[in-house]
Amino acid sequence: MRYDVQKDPIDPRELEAAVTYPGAGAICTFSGIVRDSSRGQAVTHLDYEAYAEMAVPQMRKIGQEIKDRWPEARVAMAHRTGHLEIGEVSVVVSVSCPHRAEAFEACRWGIDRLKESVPIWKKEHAADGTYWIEGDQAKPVA
Amino acid sequence: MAVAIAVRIRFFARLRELAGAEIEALQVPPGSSLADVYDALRAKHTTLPGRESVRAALNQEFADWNATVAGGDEVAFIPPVSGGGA
Repeated sequence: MRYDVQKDPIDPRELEAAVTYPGAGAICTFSGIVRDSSRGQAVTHLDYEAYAEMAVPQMRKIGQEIKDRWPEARVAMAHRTGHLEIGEVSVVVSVSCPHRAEAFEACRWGIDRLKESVPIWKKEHAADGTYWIEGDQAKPVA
Repeated sequence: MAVAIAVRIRFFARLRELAGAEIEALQVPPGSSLADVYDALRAKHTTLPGRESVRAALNQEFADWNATVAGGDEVAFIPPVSGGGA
């Protein structure tokens, strides 16, 4: 189990190495990537801000929720903070399980929970201005 | 008997920019709830959004608005997180 909020680039292979075990026949890794457009606008870069002292425990809680549902799963999560360019990895969730069906399911569940309950925010620098992304809303920076 | 307790407020993202501070010390009456704390902050920082669009966290855990704060607690008001996206 490994949970990180980090300024440095994330290497998804390192998270996979952290979850691998002899009984794991499947590792499913989700990588979120900075995309060059949003809301029909070109995006130049992003800034992520975290409440790190809460974000890491929230990730650990999600890892425990995954273990409750898929007891054989092992979980690792990492999220970047700071300035990110297009194409960089912003978030990774890696889950190992004996078989692929539960690895896919648990990984999907993990990234969905992370996005709704881990206090990390995205500031989007786009062609039409700068926005804080709050759920499905984009709020212009005052 | 204490007439006020001190809590430590942390602001993040859009709320940090609206409040113009990352950390703020606030004195509130003993027995204050998280809702009371937020109302006191909104009286001071009038551009902060209504309670319906933020969640409260007490000592780094999500908490109900009616939870009571104690001296030395860390309180954060959390705008919706990034959601969707990737």
